Amino acid sequence: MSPRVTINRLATGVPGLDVVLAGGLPEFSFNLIAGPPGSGKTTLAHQMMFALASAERPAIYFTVLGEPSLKMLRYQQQFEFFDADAINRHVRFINLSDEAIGGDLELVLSRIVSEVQKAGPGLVFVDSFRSVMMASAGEGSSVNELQAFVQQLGVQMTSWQATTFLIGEYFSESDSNPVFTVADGIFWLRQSVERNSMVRKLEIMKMRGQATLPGLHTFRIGPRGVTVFAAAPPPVETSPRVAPSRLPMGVPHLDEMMGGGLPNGYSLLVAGPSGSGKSILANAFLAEGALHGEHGVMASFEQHPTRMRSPALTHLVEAGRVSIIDSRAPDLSIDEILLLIITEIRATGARRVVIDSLSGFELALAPTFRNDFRETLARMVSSLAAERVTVLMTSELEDRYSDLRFSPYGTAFMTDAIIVQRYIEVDSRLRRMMAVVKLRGSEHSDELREFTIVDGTIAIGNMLTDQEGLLGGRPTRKRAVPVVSGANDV
Amino acid sequence: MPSSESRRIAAALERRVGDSHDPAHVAACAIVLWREIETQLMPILGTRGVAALFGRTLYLTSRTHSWLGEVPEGVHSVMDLDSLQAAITAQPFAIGIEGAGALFVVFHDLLVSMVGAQLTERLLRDVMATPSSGHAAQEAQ
Repeated sequence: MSPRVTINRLATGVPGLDVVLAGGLPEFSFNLIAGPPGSGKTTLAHQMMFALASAERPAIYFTVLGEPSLKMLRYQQQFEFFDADAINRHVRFINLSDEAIGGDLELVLSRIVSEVQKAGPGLVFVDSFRSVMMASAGEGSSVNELQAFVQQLGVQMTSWQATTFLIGEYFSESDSNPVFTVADGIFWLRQSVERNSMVRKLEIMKMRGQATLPGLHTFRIGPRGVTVFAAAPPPVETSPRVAPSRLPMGVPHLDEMMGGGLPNGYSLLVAGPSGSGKSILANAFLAEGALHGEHGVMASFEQHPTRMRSPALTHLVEAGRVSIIDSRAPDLSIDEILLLIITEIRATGARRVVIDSLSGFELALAPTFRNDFRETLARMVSSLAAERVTVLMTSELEDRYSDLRFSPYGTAFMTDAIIVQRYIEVDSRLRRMMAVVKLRGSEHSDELREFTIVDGTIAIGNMLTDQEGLLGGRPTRKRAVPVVSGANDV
Repeated sequence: MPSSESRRIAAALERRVGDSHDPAHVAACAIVLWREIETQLMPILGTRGVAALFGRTLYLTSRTHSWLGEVPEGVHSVMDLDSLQAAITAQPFAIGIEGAGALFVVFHDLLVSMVGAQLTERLLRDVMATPSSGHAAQEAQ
């Protein structure tokens, strides 16, 4: 028998939350769910309650002052987790407003304790807790009495082996409050508003006994309740895949320009102005993968995604060889989108991933995350690298001929390879050229090759050897070197 | 025409009144039913919550049954069942039992409009149970 106590971790039933909790909720813990009004506290509490409550572990939900219980029942039943059949069986609601309205903490505590003693629940919720504090403050209870109340409540609930949640409306963590000290765990919910967007975030400010994931985690509330977007855990190490060392790109001659194709596991940035053919290259990359039996995932952030797809790609999607991630949800976070992509990668065993485009991705993010876009991108690249997929990202470039730039974010250094596409003007026509600028650790062509788009596919042509100054955008014809017949220069 | 669901508590009243035609008996049975409703709902809604619903029910029903009397003004912390008992006893049997039943119908529908039919059925199950199904109070544990 192990001498140390084993702390059971309960699965909260909230997607993503157990990851943030590093395993689940410690049994018998005394927790606070705090945050301003509307942040989702009651919903989170109900969701956990219906997930955890059972005949062996019944729940009591004490409603104090605050949201009228009738209203709470009315709104919470809109969520899929609400189980009306469980009510008055292993889920019981008990209203304490009669006791609380008088402000007598002893009375409230004794009512809670007597109900707990009668029913022996495994889960206890007190909503809302702050109303008890405020009601008692009105009657002149001192801070000591509050402290004593919370202390005693903690002792009683723990002795009766109830995992407890106090739900409280707190506006700031600097509210000094005895319950913060007594609590084993503190869940802090926020709604962060910036410009026109609102992003919900959850922080585990404290959890005794385990190292939860620090920081703010974005979450959404939908018909199924709360979904937390925790950073995906690192992939399980499997035996190294037998893979070709280089992946064919799907565009004739491009593989040669890249010294044989794109090395497996690399990240490639395809940069160029609007309309230069980046998405076409990305589609070809995925189509080529499908030809070789490699599943592809495309994260599309374009305004009209279906317009972008070539018929070949549409066919691949319908055939199930390529998955499209096209989240229209507003105010995305990097966590949410990474979770979607990585989940799809793992579900399908995908080898090739396309992000089209980084510019669209930036726009899809909530303003609060746009401010840290370099960090966001770095995370994206490294998380996808950990999944051992090969990634192609497209990026819009304003074509400024005066400076040679490959990424508007200063992030070109993060990728292993860069292909740049440019427009040039020759004889009053817009012509396109492409070059492999960078390919880490490999030989690659240094040629600027003209390319055309024929029937929606890229055809790489020759270098424009009769022109010079291509990178400046307005090349000029080279002056012909005069041929002096018969002369032999010394 | 109220649905059969809405009438379940009123039907329970009629069962309990049985063959008697005594208005006082009707009143007493109605009050017992209201006490049972209170017992069922008070843990969840609190006495004030139940009293508020009762007050609203009385108001709505008295628009068509004016003999039920006016709801006194102000916030009620408890249901005033004494006044109701007196009012039912003072009516002829047929009117009294019909009015008492109407109160239950309105109360049922009020609860349904707030929390839906499934939850209402769940919360009032014991009150609406027919005697032959055995006393459903045991299943609460």
